[in-house]
Amino acid sequence: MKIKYVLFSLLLFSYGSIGAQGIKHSYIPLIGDVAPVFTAETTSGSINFPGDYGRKWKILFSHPRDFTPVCSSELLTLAQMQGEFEKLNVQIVVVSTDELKTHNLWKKEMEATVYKGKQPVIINFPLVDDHKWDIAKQYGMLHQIISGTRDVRGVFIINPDNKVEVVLFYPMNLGRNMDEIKRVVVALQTAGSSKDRYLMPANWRVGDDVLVSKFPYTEKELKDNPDIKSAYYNVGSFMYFKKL
Amino acid sequence: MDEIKRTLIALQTASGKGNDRYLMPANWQVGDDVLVPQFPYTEKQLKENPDLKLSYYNVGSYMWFKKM
Repeated sequence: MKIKYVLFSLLLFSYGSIGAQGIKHSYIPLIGDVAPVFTAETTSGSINFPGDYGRKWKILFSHPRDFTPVCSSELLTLAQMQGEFEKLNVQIVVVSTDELKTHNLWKKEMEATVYKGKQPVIINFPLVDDHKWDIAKQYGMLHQIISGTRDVRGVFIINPDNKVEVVLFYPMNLGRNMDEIKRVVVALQTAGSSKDRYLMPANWRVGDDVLVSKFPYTEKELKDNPDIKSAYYNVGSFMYFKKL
Repeated sequence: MDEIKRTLIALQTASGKGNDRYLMPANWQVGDDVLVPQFPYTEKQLKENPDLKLSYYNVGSYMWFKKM
């Protein structure tokens, strides 16, 4: 009888470990890592992330819970800015551990809400159902002391090669600054836009000058093209700026 | 560094004065209104202090803002 019970328990245990949703360990992807791949149901149908979005930039946003105040302010802000992100060739994807039916109800409600004097907009980015916590674990979004079941406010900015460029986490009580996230995307795109690869100084904004990684021209280049001098200037001995 | 300063002030503002706890909406900047976690007053409190109503407003059914 005892043996039977043990065998039965073993069977249950092994079924549990094989049959239950796969991912056991939580891991935060680091800068340079390939973005973890997932397939999931969303308000825009089933998606494969990031593969479905080809050579676009992708931003994966996690939030704690639908129908809560800060999350609502964030979703409305993202909805109002979705055109700006589309112009930057960015695909927004939003995930929480809520179920799809909750996402659909919340989305509908947000699409009827006037916020900060702006008319409601139809949300055209997907809200992902992660009620089994697979994505939460793949992206390290469950910060156990705060919550074992609800994501913190995560941001993963992923480049066209599907590598992680930026990782941000904000706490439950503080809404993210979507203007800052847009600034970061524009800065990343500007940094990579030249063959020379620019470096972006602190507090960089669109139109500001950029840094170059080393002294920008040789004696010979200067002799061939004396105007080159006027395109650059130095600050101290360690910073060479290129005028934009 | 502007965003880091914004974040710090937002966290300090969220912990409020006394027992008040606020939630900070997306893109919050100094001077902007803040969120409160639930409907901000009872019928009884409103009867005792009708001005209470002037300090708060709602956006949809899920967001109650406190004017700053």
